[in-house]
Amino acid sequence: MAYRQTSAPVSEFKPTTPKVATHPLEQLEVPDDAHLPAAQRQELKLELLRKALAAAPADIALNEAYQKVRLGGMEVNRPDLISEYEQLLAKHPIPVSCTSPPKRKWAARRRRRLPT
Amino acid sequence: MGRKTKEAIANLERAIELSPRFGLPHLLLAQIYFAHAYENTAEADRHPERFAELCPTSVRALPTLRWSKDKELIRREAARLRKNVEARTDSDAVAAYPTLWGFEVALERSDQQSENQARMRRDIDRLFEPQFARNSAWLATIQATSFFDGAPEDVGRKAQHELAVLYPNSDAALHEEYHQLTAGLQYPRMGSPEQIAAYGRQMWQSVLPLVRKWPAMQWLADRAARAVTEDRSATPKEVADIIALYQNAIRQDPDGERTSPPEPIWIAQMLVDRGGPFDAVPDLVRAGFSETERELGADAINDVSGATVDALVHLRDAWYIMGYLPLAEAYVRLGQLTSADDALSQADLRLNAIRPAENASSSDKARFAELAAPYWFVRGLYGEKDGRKMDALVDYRNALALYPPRRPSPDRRDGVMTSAERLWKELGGTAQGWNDWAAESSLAGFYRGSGGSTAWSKLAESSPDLVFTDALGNRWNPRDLAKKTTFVTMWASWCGPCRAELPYFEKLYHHFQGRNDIAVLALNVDDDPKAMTTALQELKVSIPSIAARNFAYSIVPEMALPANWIISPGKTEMFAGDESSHEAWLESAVTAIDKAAEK
Repeated sequence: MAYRQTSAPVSEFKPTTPKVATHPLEQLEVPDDAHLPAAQRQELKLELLRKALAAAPADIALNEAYQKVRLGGMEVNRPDLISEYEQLLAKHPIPVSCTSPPKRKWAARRRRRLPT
Repeated sequence: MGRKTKEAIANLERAIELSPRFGLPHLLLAQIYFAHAYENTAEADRHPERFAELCPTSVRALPTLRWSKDKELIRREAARLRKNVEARTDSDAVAAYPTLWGFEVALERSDQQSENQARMRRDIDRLFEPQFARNSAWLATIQATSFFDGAPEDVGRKAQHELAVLYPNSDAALHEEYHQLTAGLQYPRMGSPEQIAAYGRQMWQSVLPLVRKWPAMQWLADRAARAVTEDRSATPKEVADIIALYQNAIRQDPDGERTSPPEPIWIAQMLVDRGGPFDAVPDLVRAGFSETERELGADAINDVSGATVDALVHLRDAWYIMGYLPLAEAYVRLGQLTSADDALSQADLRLNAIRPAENASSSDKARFAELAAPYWFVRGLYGEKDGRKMDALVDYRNALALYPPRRPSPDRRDGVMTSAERLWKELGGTAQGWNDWAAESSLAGFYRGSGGSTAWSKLAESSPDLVFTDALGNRWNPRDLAKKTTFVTMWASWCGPCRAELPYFEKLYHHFQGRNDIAVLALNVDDDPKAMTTALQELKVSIPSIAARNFAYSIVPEMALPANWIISPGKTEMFAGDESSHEAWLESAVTAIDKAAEK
């Protein structure tokens, strides 16, 4: 079969400007600076996710990404993460589904709770 | 999920009750029911189906579903996933390709993958189109193609290069530099100590500038540390400098290199094996213990990810023993006998905790012996240093009696034998007494694996009436096999790579069928012979496989799986073959067997 794209020698690649990622989950996939210590790299990712979650707290994909970064593949981080979410759940029980975006329900709930 | 999996199941079921249209809990439940500790085939198959009904356009699926026996379910999931990933270009979709390829591969025998391979190559072509963002998910997907037969060579390198050019501070850029600097350096497997030392020297000298440039990458500093411990000509200062860089990298990137046991423990053992310097060993072992606690400590025991709690506690004990042994030896060499004694006591406690029961499997017993033998060796070193030569001799002999069959990675059993013989002579023992002891001692594991080119004849001598029958009904006699060139593959029903190789082994068998000078045999090492029959039925292969648990490892020089050997009357060689694809492997096996038979 024709195999133009991938059979090109490594040296033929012409760099272009990287695409600017706008969605937080896409930003998370932008390679980080490997000169930085691991804790700092992790903190930068968490900062990005915390901001995103502040705007869309019930976004399942963001929550999953946050949990993944927070765990960092180390089980020892799990109990703290579980208790963080247990506290969150006690404050905000949220029904969600794949088909109806949860963001709106969350916003409505929050609006109802605003002091008058 | 994690330490509270039963609670997680209840929560997920509650979530389904509250929000019946919420798909994610089904995927997570399937993940739990697929895990070894919670295995429930019916539930494991039911939940992915429900997820697919609720979230038909999702690009998520359970990767382990590829091991399901329900091929129709895998087929449906593969079709759903393909339709969805092909409609998108975002990172989630890109990251789903390896799962999709895994499903598609699982639907066919390993020798009937041409359609899948063509489809994967089309996918790769598409992934290199400009609409796909070059990022970590993209690189991981392209690099995952190396796990599948039929991917174009070097496609991972090409993707890495693209990313390195776009992001010069990224891990991809670092890997790119690493590959350029170490191009052409290949570890001399089965090489002489001098060849290994020369490789180590070239390696650490190539990598050292990079370690200084990228100090926060544990994997990189680890390459230099491993290499310098292999270089027996390196000066103590050269070793100490690189170990200091490695320790700095551990501090900056504590979880950057995940191995079993933790990498600092490996490095500590390698330092001890090379004869020091020993000063850094305690800190390295401490770093290893710290990682052990983060990964397997009481707070970190996970009851779902592929193992039971007991198995993880067992693993934690094993990692501790693997740390205490180099620690104790370093203290002995440094003359700090009290600390050595403490470390040995700790190792002893943990060894007792994991001692296998009488009816444990042979692999469990071998794993224990791999830890117990070096424990007795270090105890012997300690006894000798403490002036208790007779005690030390007993300890060395305990070690010799415990060593299991050799593995590909070298151990120090020959050194233990030398130390024991030396001490025996020092204490006034004679050759006669030594031979008397060796003749009556259980050194089967110690010598097992030294079979070599006379392995079949030796087996015939020790068991003159032995005749084994393979799965096809052929009867084999070791005395006849000793006159032939035999191609032997070692396999087990639980070994994935072995299973993938068997359809090609079947072709190899048919290729040489009828040749009187060549025998092609599969030696199955499952504890339960029924597992062999079941696996052959599942794989639909007809091969001359023999339930050989009891003697397989006396035939070949090393215990490893999967492994292939060519045993000819004059020589025994491990056959690695061309690993770029199964087809290439088959071709290289035919050539190698023909060549061996000609001699």
